[in-house]
Amino acid sequence: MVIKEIFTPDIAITWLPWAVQYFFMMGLAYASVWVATIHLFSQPKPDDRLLKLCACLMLTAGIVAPIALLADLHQPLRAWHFYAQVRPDSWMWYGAFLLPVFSGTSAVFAWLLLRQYLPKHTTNQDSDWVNKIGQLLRFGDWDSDKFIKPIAIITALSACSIALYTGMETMAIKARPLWHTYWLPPLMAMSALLAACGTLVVLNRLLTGYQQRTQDSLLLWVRASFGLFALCLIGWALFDKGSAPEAALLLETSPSWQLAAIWVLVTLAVLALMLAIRHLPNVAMLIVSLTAIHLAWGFRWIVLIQAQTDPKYGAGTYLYQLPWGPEGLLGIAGTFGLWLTLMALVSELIRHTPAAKLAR
Amino acid sequence: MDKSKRQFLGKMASVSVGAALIPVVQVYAQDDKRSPQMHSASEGQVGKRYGMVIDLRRCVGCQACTVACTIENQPPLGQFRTTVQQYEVSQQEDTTPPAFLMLPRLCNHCEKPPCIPVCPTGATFQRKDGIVVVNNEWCVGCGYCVQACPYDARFINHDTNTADKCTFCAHRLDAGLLPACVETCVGEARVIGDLNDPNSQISQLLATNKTDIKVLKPTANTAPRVFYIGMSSAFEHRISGQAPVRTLLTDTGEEIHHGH
Repeated sequence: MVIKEIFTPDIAITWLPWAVQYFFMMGLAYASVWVATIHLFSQPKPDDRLLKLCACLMLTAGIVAPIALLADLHQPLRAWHFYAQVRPDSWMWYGAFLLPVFSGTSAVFAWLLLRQYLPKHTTNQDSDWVNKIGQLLRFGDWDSDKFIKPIAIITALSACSIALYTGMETMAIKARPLWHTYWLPPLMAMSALLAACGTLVVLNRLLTGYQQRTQDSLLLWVRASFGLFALCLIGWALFDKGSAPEAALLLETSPSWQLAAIWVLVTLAVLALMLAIRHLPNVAMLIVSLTAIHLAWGFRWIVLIQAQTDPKYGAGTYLYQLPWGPEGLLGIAGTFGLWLTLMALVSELIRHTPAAKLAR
Repeated sequence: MDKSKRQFLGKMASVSVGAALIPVVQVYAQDDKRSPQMHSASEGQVGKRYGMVIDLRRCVGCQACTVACTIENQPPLGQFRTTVQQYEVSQQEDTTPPAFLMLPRLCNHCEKPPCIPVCPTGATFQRKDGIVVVNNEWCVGCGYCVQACPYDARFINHDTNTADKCTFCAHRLDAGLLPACVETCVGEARVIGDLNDPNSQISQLLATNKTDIKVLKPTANTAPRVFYIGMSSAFEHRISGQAPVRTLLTDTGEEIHHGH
C-alpha cells in the first residue's frame, strides 16, 4: 500500500531555543561543579587557577540557565504554580525543587572558591566602587576555607540531581522515540562535561593570569569527556532499540537530518584527530575547545529543536525556521550576552588579587 | 381600514409575538429539567464516560468540523483543535485509480492519558466523565504535555500562551448540546456519547461494528476513547508514506519556507 499525505497540518515546535540555552548553560554549570569537586578531592595540591575558573563558570552559567528556563515557559510569571501542589509523576515538578537547591549551593560553592580573590576591607579612601562592592561581597575577613570541601560534596550531589532530572525529563517522553532512550541522560551529561572543559580552556585564555599547568590538566579533561561522549554515542547507535532506528529512518528521508549527521560525524572526526596529537599547540587547543563547545551546543539543538520536527503520526518532517525575535535568534544571543556580561562583572570583582593562594 | 381587517391584523400580531416566545419558553423548560443535575465544569458528568466514534465510511473530508470547531472555540489563526487529514492510498503496481482516506483527528481523551502525569502543575486533568481538559488559568505553558501527547493533539495557544486542545466541547455537553464538530458533520460520521450506557448510540455502534473498530497507536498504551470505523490498519500507527509539500507561513500569511 502506498500512502501519500495530501492535506495535513504543520505542527510548530513547542520547546523553543530557550530550552537549548537552558540545557547548555545548566550543563556548563553542573559540569564545572563536577570538575572543581573532582579536582579538589583528587589533587593533593589543587590548582587554584582551575578552581577559580570553575567557580566563575558555575556562578555565571548557574544564574543564566534558570532565566533561560523561565523564558521557555510561555507563562513565566506563573512559575510559582510549580510549588503549589504535589506532582510526583512529573520529572519537571521535581526539577522545580532541585533547580533552586543547585542555584543556591553552586552560588555558595563559587563564592567560597572566589572569596579569597575579593578585596579585603581597607580604610583606603582611593578604592573605587568595584572594590567597595568586592569588599562587601567578601562578608568580612573570617576564614571560610574549611567549608569548601563539605560544600563541594553537597554541590556535586546537587549537580548530579540536575544532570539526572534534565536528562530524565526529556527521556521520559515516550511519544518522541528519539528522546525515549536511556542513552540520552548520559549523552547530555557527557556533552555538558565536554562543553564545560572547553569553556574553561577558553576562560583560561581570556581571563588575566593564564596558566599552562591549568591548560595541561584541562586537556586531559577534554580528552576524557570527549572519549566518554563518543562512547555513549557509539553505544546508542549500536545498542539502542527505539531512538537509533528512528534516527536512521529520518536519515533516509530528511535532508536536514542528513546534514545534521554529516555535521556530527565531521565534528567528531576533527576533534578525535586533533585530540590524538600528543602536544597540542596553544592555537590548536583553542580550536579544539571551541569545536567541543560548538558540538555540545549543536547536539542540544538537534536533540531538543530538530527532534521536534519529527512528526508523531505523519510522514516526513515538519518545517522550522529560526525566528529573529526573542523566541529565536535574539533569545540565543541574549542568553550568551547575559552570560558574557556576568563573566565580565565577576572577573572585574576578582581582578584585584589575581595571585591569591588557598590556605589549605 | 375596516374593523374586521384591524381585528385580523391584531390577531396575527399576537400570534407572531407568541411564536417569537416559543424558543425562549423551550429553553427555560430545558433548563428547569436539567437544573437538579447541574455539575461543575471541572468535575464533569459523574457516572458518564464520553467517547467518540468516527465512521470513516461517512466522512467526505469537507472540513465542516474543522470550521465549526474554530468558530466555537476560537483558536488562533493556524492552530486547530480538530482537523481532517487527507491521504491518497494506492496499491503498488495497481492500475485502479487511487482511493482517498479522510481522517478526522482530535484529542483521543485517552483512558490512560500520557499528557496528565507529566504536567508539573496539575493544570491538565481528566474530568469524571473522561474528558481531558486544561485549566488555562493554572497552566504555566511549559509545553511538557504537548510533547507527551503521542497524537499531536495539543498545542500552545499563541493567544493565551497556555496548553490548548479539544475538550469534546465540554461546555456544550454540559449544557445538553452536542460538540460543534458533531453538530455540523454533514455525513453524521462523528457520534459522541456515553460509553457507560449500553443503550447509547455510541455503544450500539461499537457493538454492531465490533470487528471493524480501530484506535490510533493502540500500542502506545494510552487506551484512546476516539474510535474509528472503516480505517485500514496501515493508518493505526505512524504513517509510512510520502509527506506533503509543507509550507511555513508568517503570521500575516506570507510564505517564508516550503519543503517536501
